[in-house]
Amino acid sequence: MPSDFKQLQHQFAGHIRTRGAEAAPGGIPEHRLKVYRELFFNNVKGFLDGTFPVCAEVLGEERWEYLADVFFRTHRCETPYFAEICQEFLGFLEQGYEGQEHDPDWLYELAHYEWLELAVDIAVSEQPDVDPQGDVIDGIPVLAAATEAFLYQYPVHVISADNANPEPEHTAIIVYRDADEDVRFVHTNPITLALLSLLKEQPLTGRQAVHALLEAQGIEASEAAVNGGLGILQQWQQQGLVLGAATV
Amino acid sequence: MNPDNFPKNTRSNNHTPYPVHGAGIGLRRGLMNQMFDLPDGAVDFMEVAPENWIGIGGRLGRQFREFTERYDFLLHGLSLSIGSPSPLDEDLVRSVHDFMREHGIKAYSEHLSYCSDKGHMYDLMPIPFTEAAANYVAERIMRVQDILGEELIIENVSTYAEPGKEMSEPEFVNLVLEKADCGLLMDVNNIFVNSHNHGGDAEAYIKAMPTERIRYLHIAGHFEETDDTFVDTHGMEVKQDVWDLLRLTYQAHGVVPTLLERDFNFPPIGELLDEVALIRQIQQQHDALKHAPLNDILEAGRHAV
Repeated sequence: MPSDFKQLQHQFAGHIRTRGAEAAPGGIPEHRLKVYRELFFNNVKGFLDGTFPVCAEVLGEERWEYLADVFFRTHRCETPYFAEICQEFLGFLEQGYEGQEHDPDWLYELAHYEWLELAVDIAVSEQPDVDPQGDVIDGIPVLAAATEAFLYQYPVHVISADNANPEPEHTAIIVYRDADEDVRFVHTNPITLALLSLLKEQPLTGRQAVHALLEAQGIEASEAAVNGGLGILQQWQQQGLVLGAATV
Repeated sequence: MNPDNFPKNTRSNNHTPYPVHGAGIGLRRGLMNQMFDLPDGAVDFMEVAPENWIGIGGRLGRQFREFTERYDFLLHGLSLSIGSPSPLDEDLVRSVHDFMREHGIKAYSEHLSYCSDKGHMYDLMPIPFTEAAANYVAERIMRVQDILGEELIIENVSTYAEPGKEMSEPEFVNLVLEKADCGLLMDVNNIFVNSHNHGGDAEAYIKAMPTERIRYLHIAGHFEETDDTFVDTHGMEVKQDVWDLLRLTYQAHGVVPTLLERDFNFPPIGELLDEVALIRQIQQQHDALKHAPLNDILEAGRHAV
């Protein structure tokens, strides 16, 4: 019986993972098994509680606990890194979880929005050399560290226990880390979001990006439209979302 | 606190088996703000879990860098799952290796345990104390040491069950150490907790550990969940019984670098520094005893804390 110890290990882990549904190896007192079951579940739930406080609050303790329970039992976490457990949870919500009838439609989006704050806060970001006073119109705008932009179907930024049933509404959000390393959120509109995406994708001057945006949106590049786009870039520079222009 | 109490240069790392010296404390995010302002010399070394810090940028990453530039650091891993029935995560070992280089980290320890089977479970499960398991774990430790290009230090863990046990825990630990030719991080609190939970003899356990393989020690507080079950929570102050076992450890194995673990329920930092200072005090007492004539030893024994 050379590999019996591995079978015991699977059995022991299976007992903890299923929260007692699968039998533990024999001879272990129930109160000791309970110590393990609770330590493991509470540890994982603690990570979820810490990253998704709004989801937890709006769903209420019972449904939140149910969700954590299904995640714990059924999701196979691949990452060894603790900050990525919450990413595993998002993957579970998106793919592994069979939603319940009373689950809100916005659940995944709110969880994603909450996770985004953590992700942007800790993202490793290498910044190119930047001239803070540089020309962001005819130079290449440099975005703040870890800038992310998402278009949600629900107004995730206003969901709360007091506003748990929002109507669907396209909600464009930009998240970034400012020069003081604080995470900032900007609620904007889909066209502005598209401008940001263009700047993230490839090195364009501000003016090139605005023209590309207008063309992609089927908007005539009138002087007013171009100036409108350029104005956004200058506003971003003031907000710290654009750090300045790349030094050549 | 007088930083001169335990000058850094009394021990040279070049001539001891120890990767660090003196008394250390685990760096935790919940303690970081308080730990920025520690006076020089208050703590000799620090330790973190690599799985909490690899790939972390932003403010936290920058602050961590400030700590590693100021202190000697050890890594104490949580996710390697060295005893797991699943394949070894060699990518993690390589990432740890790179991280150690990046931050000038002195050594890497892991738990003699497993924390995954069909996926990560993020806490520690007991490896059955069998010869087959010891062989299996030892082979995996050796593979890790191959990738790292240096020794892995393994730690005895606290347990609340001993499935499949065919030998005593100290026998199992010794067997793994010998087969893998690796270092030992001896956790004094875990020995106390396990001896209580499973009815062993903590003093005999400590004495049975091979002096030449010990690289550093952990002490921590535990929670007395019931009379019958102590849980290794790292959430409260170190108990008197564990301080006594620390003294016994120094008597049995000499003065070994020792780190205080505190993971939550953080008190003001001063209380933790008092515990670190007590580690040092016990280390100094032992050093003094070792070099003193017999009469002085007896005298000091009467006044020992």
